[in-house]
Amino acid sequence: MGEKVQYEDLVENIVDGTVNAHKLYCPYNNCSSLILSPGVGVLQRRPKIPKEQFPSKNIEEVRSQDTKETIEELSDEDSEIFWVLTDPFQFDNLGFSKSSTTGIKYLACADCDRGPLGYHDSNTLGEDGKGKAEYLLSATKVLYKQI
Amino acid sequence: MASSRNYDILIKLLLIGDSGVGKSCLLLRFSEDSFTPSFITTIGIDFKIRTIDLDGKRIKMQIWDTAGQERFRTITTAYYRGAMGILLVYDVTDEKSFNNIRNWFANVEQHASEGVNKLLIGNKCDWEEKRAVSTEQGKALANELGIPFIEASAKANINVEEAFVSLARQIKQRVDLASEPQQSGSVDIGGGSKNSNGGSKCC
Repeated sequence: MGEKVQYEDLVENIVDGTVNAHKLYCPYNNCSSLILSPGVGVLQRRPKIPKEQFPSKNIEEVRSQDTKETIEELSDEDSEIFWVLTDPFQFDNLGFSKSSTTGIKYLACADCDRGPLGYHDSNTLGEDGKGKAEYLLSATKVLYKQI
Repeated sequence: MASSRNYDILIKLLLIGDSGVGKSCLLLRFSEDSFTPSFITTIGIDFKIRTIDLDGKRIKMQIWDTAGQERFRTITTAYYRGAMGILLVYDVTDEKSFNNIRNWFANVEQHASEGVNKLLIGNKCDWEEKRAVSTEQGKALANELGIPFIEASAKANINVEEAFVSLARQIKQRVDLASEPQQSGSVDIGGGSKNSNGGSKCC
């Protein structure tokens, strides 16, 4: 059983189209829920996790809890690396939020509900719903373990 | 794209019962640190994917929580579409939630597809000093409805895994049976994933 590490500790060069070679886990303390098995996700650069209009009455309270890192991360560049999946059933364990007002579903840990660990933008499906569905799991947020 | 099918059976499950019985909590694994709400819980969880191994088969469960709809006391037909298993949940410290199981059962009978597997769950069974519904009462109701019964506690992590696994096992047996060539009945194992519902509430 190897230690769980972050993606930056794992690879020197980030190559688009790489398939995940490790097991991917929830990064939050005391959780370690298995999110994705090896050989399923494809690494791609995509727009960062959208900063959503949260329900206003809760936003301050919620922000003070655990979204600080999210807000910081959203500041500079507008894209980041994700493991791209085309079907929710490709994940081992994961929660999917309801759609936000702008059509974003957030991905959360199935065991502790924390997140967001990524997102799904239903707008990419197009008006006829026949576009390509993508479920984007942040490659820099999850933890990695050698099989 | 990489391989898209890494499971043997896909099953759609629904959690049903009164508001406050802890349906959402059955989908949380409680850890040392106390539960802190994230903005995900503010938006609400639509569904969760869980993977288990059962008799050498990889089972993917798509689990839907009624997510506040239970306040209206009925769940729409759309929500039941494609459901293969239903967890009817009450709170052993809340007699009203227990008495309402009959109503929920009637709702399931009315809307869910025929042959759907059901399981009665008495949640919060660790809370003995507040208990209002005995284990015997739970068993008696389950017998009356003709469905299996288990007491569980999401908080103390008692029987939660067992509840999902036993329901998954029953569904797998039913699907296996239906797919045998001499059987004529067919079972829809494609769980719908397109509907999304409003409102959410944890425990």
